[in-house]
Parts: sequence; C-alpha cells; structure tokens
Amino acid sequence: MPTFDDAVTTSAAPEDVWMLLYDPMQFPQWWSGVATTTYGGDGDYTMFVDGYPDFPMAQQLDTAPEGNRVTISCMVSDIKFQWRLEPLPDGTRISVHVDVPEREAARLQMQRGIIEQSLHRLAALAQQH
Amino acid sequence: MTAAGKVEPAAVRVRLLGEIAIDVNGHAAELPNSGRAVALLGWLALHPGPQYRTDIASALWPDVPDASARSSVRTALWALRRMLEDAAAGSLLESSRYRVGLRDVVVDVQEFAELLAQDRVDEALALAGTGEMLTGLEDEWALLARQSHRERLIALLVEGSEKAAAGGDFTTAVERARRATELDPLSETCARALMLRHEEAGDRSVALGVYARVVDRLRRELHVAPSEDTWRLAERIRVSERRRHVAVRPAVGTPMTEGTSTVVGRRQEFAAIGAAWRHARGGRGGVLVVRGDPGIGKTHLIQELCRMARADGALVAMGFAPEIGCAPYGPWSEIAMSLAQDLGAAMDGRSFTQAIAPLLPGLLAPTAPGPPDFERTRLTEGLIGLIGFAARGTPLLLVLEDMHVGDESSAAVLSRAARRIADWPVLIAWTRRHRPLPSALADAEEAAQRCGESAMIDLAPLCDDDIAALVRRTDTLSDSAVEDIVVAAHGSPLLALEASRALANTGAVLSEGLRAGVRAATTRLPMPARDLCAALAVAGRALSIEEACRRIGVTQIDLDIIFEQAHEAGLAVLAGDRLDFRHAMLRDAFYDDLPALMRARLHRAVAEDLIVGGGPERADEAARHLLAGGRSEDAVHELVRGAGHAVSLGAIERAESLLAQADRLHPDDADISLELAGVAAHRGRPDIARERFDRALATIGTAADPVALAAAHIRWAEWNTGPLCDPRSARESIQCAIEILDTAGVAGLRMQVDAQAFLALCEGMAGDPLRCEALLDALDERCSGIPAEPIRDIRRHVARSLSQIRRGRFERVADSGRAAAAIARSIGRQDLLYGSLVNAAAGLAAVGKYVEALGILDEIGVVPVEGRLASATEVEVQLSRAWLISRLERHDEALRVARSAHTLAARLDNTDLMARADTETGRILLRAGSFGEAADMLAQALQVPDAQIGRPMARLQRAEALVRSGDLQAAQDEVRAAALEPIGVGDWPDTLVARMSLVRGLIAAARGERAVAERQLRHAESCWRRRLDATDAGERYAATLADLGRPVIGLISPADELDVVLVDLELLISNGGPDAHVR
Repeated sequence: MPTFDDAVTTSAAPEDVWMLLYDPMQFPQWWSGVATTTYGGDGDYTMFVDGYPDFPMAQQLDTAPEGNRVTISCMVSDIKFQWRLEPLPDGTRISVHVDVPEREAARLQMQRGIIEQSLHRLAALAQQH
Repeated sequence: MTAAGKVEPAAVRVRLLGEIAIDVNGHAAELPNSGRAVALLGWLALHPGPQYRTDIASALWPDVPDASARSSVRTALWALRRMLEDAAAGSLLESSRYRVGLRDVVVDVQEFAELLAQDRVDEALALAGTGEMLTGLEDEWALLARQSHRERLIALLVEGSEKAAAGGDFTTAVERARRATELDPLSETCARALMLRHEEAGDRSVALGVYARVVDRLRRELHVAPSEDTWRLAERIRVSERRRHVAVRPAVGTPMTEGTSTVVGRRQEFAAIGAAWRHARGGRGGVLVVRGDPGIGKTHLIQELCRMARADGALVAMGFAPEIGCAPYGPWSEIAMSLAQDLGAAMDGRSFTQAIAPLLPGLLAPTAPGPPDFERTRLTEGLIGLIGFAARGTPLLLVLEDMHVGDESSAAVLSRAARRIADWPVLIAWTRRHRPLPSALADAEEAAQRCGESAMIDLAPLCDDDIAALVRRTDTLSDSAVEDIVVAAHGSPLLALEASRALANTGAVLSEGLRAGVRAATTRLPMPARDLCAALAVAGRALSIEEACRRIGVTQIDLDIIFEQAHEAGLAVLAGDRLDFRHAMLRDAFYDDLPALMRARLHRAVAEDLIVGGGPERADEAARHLLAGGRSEDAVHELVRGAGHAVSLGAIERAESLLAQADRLHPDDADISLELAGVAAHRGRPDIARERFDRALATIGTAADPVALAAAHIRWAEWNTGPLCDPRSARESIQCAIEILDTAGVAGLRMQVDAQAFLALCEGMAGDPLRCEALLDALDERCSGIPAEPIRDIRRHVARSLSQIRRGRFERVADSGRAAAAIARSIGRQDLLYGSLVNAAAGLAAVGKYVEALGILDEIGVVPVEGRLASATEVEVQLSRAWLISRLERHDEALRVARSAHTLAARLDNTDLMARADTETGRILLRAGSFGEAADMLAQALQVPDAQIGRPMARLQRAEALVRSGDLQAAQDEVRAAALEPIGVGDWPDTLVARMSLVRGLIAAARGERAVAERQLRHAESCWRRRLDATDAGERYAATLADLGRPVIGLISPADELDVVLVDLELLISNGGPDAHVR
C-alpha cells in the first residue's frame, strides 16, 4: 500500500492544535480542499470537497489509545490519515502518516501536496489561537 | 580545504548505540526528516558493504508489495543521499542498480566488536554505555539486533564480573553484575550473578534483597516462581548466615519425657506463634505463615498453636491441600464445613450462607452459577463473611496446611482475608514448603506482610543439640548412637525420629533414608494393614473412615484393628476424623516402594471410587488418578468435568489449565476447544477466544452436525453479550445459528425459540428495534405452548425494555426491567437481577428521567450496610445511584453514596473501582461547587494509571475545578495534560472539544480576555448543541450500549453540560468582566 509521512513544527501549544484536530467542524479552516463538514454523532461526520457539494464523503474519526494519535478514515476512498502530536519545549510537532489504497495510488502525489499544504495551515491556524 | 583547494574527506561516524546519530568531523549532523531514511541509515550501518536492494526492501518495508517497497527504497535513498552529501560534502553512499552500501564511515558497533576482539573489554563496556541499541526504532530487524546486542553485552558483563571477583576487585564485580541485571531485570542468571557478588563482598543481606526483588518481579510480570537454582542459592546464603554447627554435648541426667510442650528447640518460633495468637485473641487479627522443608516440623508447630487456641476456648478449623488435584477452594471448603458444623443453625439466613453454598455440598443447595468473576467475588466475600460471623463471640484460629500444593482460588481468598481481619479476633495460619511457590500464594504472603499483624516463620534445620535432645526423649540411647542419628538427620526432626525408630527396629541407623525405614516397618505388617497404607499412599490425602473402608473393602469394625496395626508401625495416624500417613514424606517413601502395576491398579480403583462417590469437586482428583493409572482417554472426561466445576466457582485459571490438558490429550475435540474459547472470553482475551472458537467451528464443520454448529454460535453470542462486550458480533453469531437451524430443517422447537429470544435481545442492543419488537411479538405466541425457560424469558423482557427505550416508549421500560429481575431473583441469579434493573435504569437516565431511574436502582438496594456482600456490580450500582442523585441536586446524599461505593471497592481491594469512586466523588463535588475538594479528589483518581475513569474527561473536569477555584496556572497545565492523554472509544472525543473550550473560556475570562472567553464559550455551546441535535436520546443510549457492550449510567449529559455553558456565558456577558467562577 502506498504511504507517505509528513510533519511540521509549530510554536502553538499542543492543546491549540488538539482543538482543531479533534473537531471535524474546524476542518474547512485548515484542510485544503474541504469545503464543509456535517456532524453525524459519535465520531462520524461527512466531508464535502471543494467543487463537489453533492458528493458526500463519509468519514470516521477514531482515536488510538496509545501515542496521542487521531485517525481519520475516508469511508469512500479508504484513504487513512493518522495524525500525531508531540509536545516540544517551545511548541508542538504535528506529524501525519497517510495510507493510500492501491486503487487510489494515482492520487498519491496529489494527496502529498494537499497534506503538506494542510499541515502548514493547521500549524499557522493553531498559532493564532 | 587543502592548499590546492581540494576538499579533504570528512571523518564520518555513525552511532547505533543509543539513538541513531551521525557525526561529521566530531560534530553531530542533522538527520533526514523522513523516519524511513533514518532507519535505512541504521540498517546500512549495521550491514557493512554493498547490500542488495531487495534485502533492504524486505527488511524495512516487510508488509508491502515488492514494487512499492522498491519504490520506497529509492525515495529513502534519495533523502539519505541528500543529507549525507550536505553534511559530509561528498558521497558516502555507493549504489548500483542492485546494490547499495555505506563507504568510508566508522560505525560504533563495529568499534565495539573490534575492541572485544582485541580483549579490550573495559573500553568495549564503556563504549556500550547503557546497552540500548537503535533506540526508538521498532522495526523487526532493529528489535532483533537490539536483543542480540543486549544478550552479548549481558554475557560480557557477567563474565567480566566473575573475572573481577576472581581478582579480588569486588567493586567492579558488583558494578558489572548490576549493569547486567539492569539490562535484563527478569534474568535469573543476572540476578544470581549479582547475589553471588554481594555474598562474596560480604553483603549477604543485600544479596537476599536482590533475590527478593527478582522474585517479586517474576511474580508480578511473568506470574512464575524463581527457578530451583536461584532459590537454592538464596537458601544457601540465608542458611549460611544463621546455621551454627554446635558439637553434640553428652546427655546430662535422665532422658527427657513428654512434658507440657512437645516442641524441642524452636524457642523463638514457639514464642512467635504464642505472640501471634495473643495478638489475634486480643482482637488484633493477623496472619501466620510457617515455611520450611518437608519433615522440618511445620505441622508440629501448628499443632502446638491449635493446642494453645483450644486451651483459650477458641474455635479452630483446619483445611488441607491434597497433593493430588486440589479442587478450587478445597482447603476453604473444609474450613467452611468445619465452621458450619460448629455454628449450626446460627448460620441460617445470613448474607454469606447462600454465597458459600457451593463449598458445602450436602449441607446447602447452591443456586445456578452466574458469570465466573461474579461467583469468584461472591465466594470470597462469603467466606470472609463466615469468618467475621464465626469470630463474633469467640476467637478463631483457621489453619490451611500444605498451601504449596493448594489452588489459586484458595490463595486469593487468603490475600483478601489478610486485609480484612485486622480488627477481628482471628488468626489465619498456613504452612508451606519453600518450593513450589505458586504466584497467587506469593501474592497472599505479600498482602499479609502489608497488613497489621503478620508473622513469617522460616523453619531452619534444628541444631545438633536439639536433634540429640529430641531423640533422647523417645528412647534411651548411647551417646554414640545419638551422634550417628544426628549425622543422619541433617537437622530434620522427622529424619531423626525415623532414624531412632529404625535403630530400635533393625539395630542400625537409616543409611538409605526414609525408604528403608518404611520398608522395614512394612515388612512386619499384616496384609490388610499394608492395604490400608497402600490406599493412603495412592490417595495422596487423608481419607475419611468411609472412604478407607470402601477402598480396602473392609467393615468399620475390621478397620479399627487394621488401623491400630498401621499406627503402631509408625505409619498411619488419625488426623481429626480422618486417616492419614504420619507424614507426607513417609507416604512418598511408601508410594515409591509400591510395584508399578499395583500402583496403576490402585489409581484406577481410586478414580472409580471418586467418580461414583464424589461430586464434581472430585473430578480433577479423579482425572489425576486416571492419568496415573494409564487411562488418559477416561481422564479427558473428568478433566472437562473438573473445568466445568471450576468455572462455576469462578476459578477460571484452573478451568483453563484443566481444559488445556484435556485438549492436549484430545486435540480434535470441538467441545474442549469451545470451552477453552469460553475461558479465554472470561479472561478478557478476545483474540485467543476467537482463535479457539474458529478451531471448534472447523472441527464441528468436518462432522457436519448442524445442531452442534448452531449451539457453538449461540455460545459465542453469549460471550459477546457478556465478557467480550461486543453485541454486534453477538447479533451476527445468533443470526448465523438461526440460519443453520433453518437450513438444516432441525425440528428442535425449544432451541429455535431460545435462539429467537436471544436474537431479539441482540437486535435490541445493537440492531433494529422494530425487528426486535416483531421477533418478540412472534415469540409471545410461540412460547405460550412450551414450558417456561428462565434465561430465555429474562432475555425477552430485557429485549422489550431496550426496544421501548429506543422507540421512545418510556412508560413501560421499568415494567419490563422488573419482570426480568423477578425471574432472575427466582433462580438466584443476582448478576442477572442487577443487569435487568441497571439496563432499564440506564435507558431512563439517558433521556433525563432521573427520578424514575433512581427508583429502579433503589429496588436493588440503598446505601450498602455492614454485612452485605460486596461485589463489583454492587459498587457500579452505587456509583450509578450517586450520579443520578447528584443530577437531582441532592449533592450531600450523592457524596455519601459515592463514598460508600469507595468503601465497598476498598473491601474488594479493587483499585480500578476505588479510582472510579474517587472520580465520581470529584464530579459530584464539582457540581456542588466544592471546587478545591473536587480538584483534589480528581487528582487522587488520576494517580491510578490504568483505572478506567475516562482520563481526558477527568483531567478537563479537574481543570474546570481548578479554574473555578482560581488556580489558573494549574488549570492550564491540566488542559495541556488532557491534550496529551490517550483517547479511547469510551471517551467521546467530540464532547472533549466542548469541555476544553469551556475550560479555556473560563481561563480567558479570569484573565480578563473577554473576547477570547466569549469565543471559546460560544464554541463550547455549539459543540453541545450539535451533540444534542445529532441523534435522539434513545439512539444515543443504544449507540453507547453497542459500543461499550454494557449499559452505562452517567458520564455524559449534553443538556446539563449545555446549561452550565449558558450560565457561564450569561455571567460573562452580564458582569462584563472575569467573573465566571460560579458553576
């Protein structure tokens, strides 16, 4: 399965990043390409991508009991994003591991670009909080 | 640069000891950002020279297709090459189409190996540092390399330690052995090396301290006792400290005769048992453990203790662990039986009486067993209740003999009882040999040492003077004969007496140990007395008079004479109302002398007697005899029967052990695989349970037996609605069972109806409520024509209450719960009684009907009173009551209930439940406005690392309490800690965002940052509103039930939380300043 990793360091506190990462309603503010999200209850929500208001992308937000990770799985494309926060003396390191299923492999480079851009937007937005 | 402008090659050193690092010209270089590129550097450094790309790909990307892995190698190589070129201004990577390698680099691991090759051990050890290698890298190749390096280093340290000790450098010797121990704290080899070094350095107490720590660690982490070698070393060190060889002094005056005390020597030990008994008699209950090798005098000392207690008018009850197949709670069963006979009708109607009924076969009829963990708690609490009751009017001495062969459940009761008898006039004494030491018994001894009055007596060999005095008491012997006996006895009073007896019988001191003496005594016995001895030897335990008569085929009148003959020969004794060998070592010696064929025949006869005359509590024992008699096929059935009995008593570990043995004898038996799946489920091991269940299905599948297949699926569904807490899997499994029965056209109406009722329950929990209703309506008609079945009917009523909750028809929920509870009560299933009512109450609580929910829980019981048996379920019910009462703003009452739940949890010694009670108390205090106390209480709960308290939420609630009490910095710290807590499914992450927003809003308000405060509080408001609007209350309840597999009262009430936020917002807006400190 194609995968890639990316990371960024921000001067924002872990809780500032945490607030954005654990709340799907905030995703449009920092996740490139996400236009809106709607809440479904108990971790389920639906994401609508820019330019496709009629194409709902059901998502599942899970958390792992180890390592402060939040996993966001797209139920349509099966792409899985695993985000992780690490406290630093003067900020937070945000890292992400992305699993792309074989059938979506053609989108690997595009996803790499989206995630790189999103990471920086997330880091910048958290700094403003 | 050189004068010619040419770049000098950089000195590059790769470090693998510790975290991977790279130094260029002595300075640390920055590693690539990609973790895989760093791992690649490590792998290449560990494998010098050009390496095939395919090998790299399979090592670093083991679980991905080859093409992807090779692509990943290229990507990582690119990152690594760029980094190395930047850092070292030259290429350190040599690569071809097929191979890649590092060149011109020094690797610390190679330096380490070279130093060793040159025998520069000190320098190698200094280079190795802490011994960790590739720290932080969790790839399989890295783990293997790390382990291999660690083992090499340990061997080096142990060897180096020995060499240093041989050279007289004890400081270095100890230091190296200590480093080895730190590298592998569970290694007994390392521990022994350190013990030896300390002993050689003259620090015997420190050496014994090392032993104590490794024993403790082995028990806690691996649940095993130390090996024979380690124990023997500890014993040698221990004995060398205390044994003093005293030359035998000639006898003075006349030989000693039987006096008031039959104990020779042992003055300190005699004083210790006297002190222990006096403390207990005076109301300061405690524990006495007598430890020692066989024949050293443990039983003799205990007999003195019993004599002392009886002389004080105390009640004395004894239990014995048999050498063969000790049943769960076996010794406690004998004690309970003995006390029941002493107490008689006074026990009738007591809360503990029904709980211990399974241990009193023939006296009381037990009710149907509940889940194993419930039964375990009930029996343990029942036994403690019995002890407390028996000690109300008179001091009580309880003795458990030979606990080294006792069962785990009995040892667990000792652990619990040791903590509870501090204020009772009770002494619990047990004896054991040094080996084996079951881990549960080690736990009990540790618990005993932590509680108030406890004494541990280690019986050492008697000194030669005492041995001489002992043999002179029994006979008039010459000094030289006494000398001979002292030499033969090695400090063992049993061997001394047997040697003395042999001298009297044969004119010679034992030269071949006990066996020769027993043989000499046996040859003079008439045949019936030999048969009695053989029956006692093969039984492996004391026999009742009836058992003895049956096994040797004589009447009780004949037995009187036969026993006298065996008794006079010094072999048999009357122990209470039972016959036994005078000592276990004599029994062993007699048994060893029996011809093999005779042994096997006798074992088979004993097994038949146990199967015919004994209940299920004797099944394990019967199985052992069948195995010893060569009947392994027949033993399988008894092992399974014994496992069933163990499960019914909650002795799940014992059940698993018996079933595993049966499985080894009959590997393709589906029933055994299925039972093994059940015990794994009850032990909370879903993966193992699934694997065993699949194995059972495969075996049944080959037999093409649809009824067995359906029954297996039904069992799986039961475990998933029980210990495995996965109602969705249960639903799938029960549907599968019904389809199998339908497809096969099986005409078993009862089985089909039972399965339909179970499916209705699963639909109610994790499926479609309308389908649940339809199934129940259909069942009402079908069940009218067949006999009632309690479990099926309980499921029907619970299913009905679930569908009512989910469809918003709350007016009938309580009735359905009560109907299920009434059936559960009628069959004595307290667990189902609790479950039925808690389920209905949880449904009502989920929709805010707190008064009605509380009313249902009150039917179980109000604040627990003294004398009521504690159980985990009881604690959870009380915590649910506390939550509901708090919602009704009756905070003082809620606090009382939560604290009583804590007391109950403490009685159970359940730290998880204690932490949950503390958490609930903290939450009530927060709601009541006692913010400082709330913060303290929540901090106390958070100190228990693994407690199931919902840590992120507890931290945020503590942060709220802190900010409302004015401690802003501590609140801020707690918010940070909450963000770094692991979060699981039961933590409801979306609600955590709302809570964190509230706390951050309050902090901002307190700091005068009004705009930030309002933004955060508005965000909290929107989060709670979203939660409220998303689904209706009944479905939220169902979602919780499906996710957690059990009804939950408490934790989240979005409407109440929203109210809190709105009040804070209003205060903020109306006051216009940082005055949001009121909840």
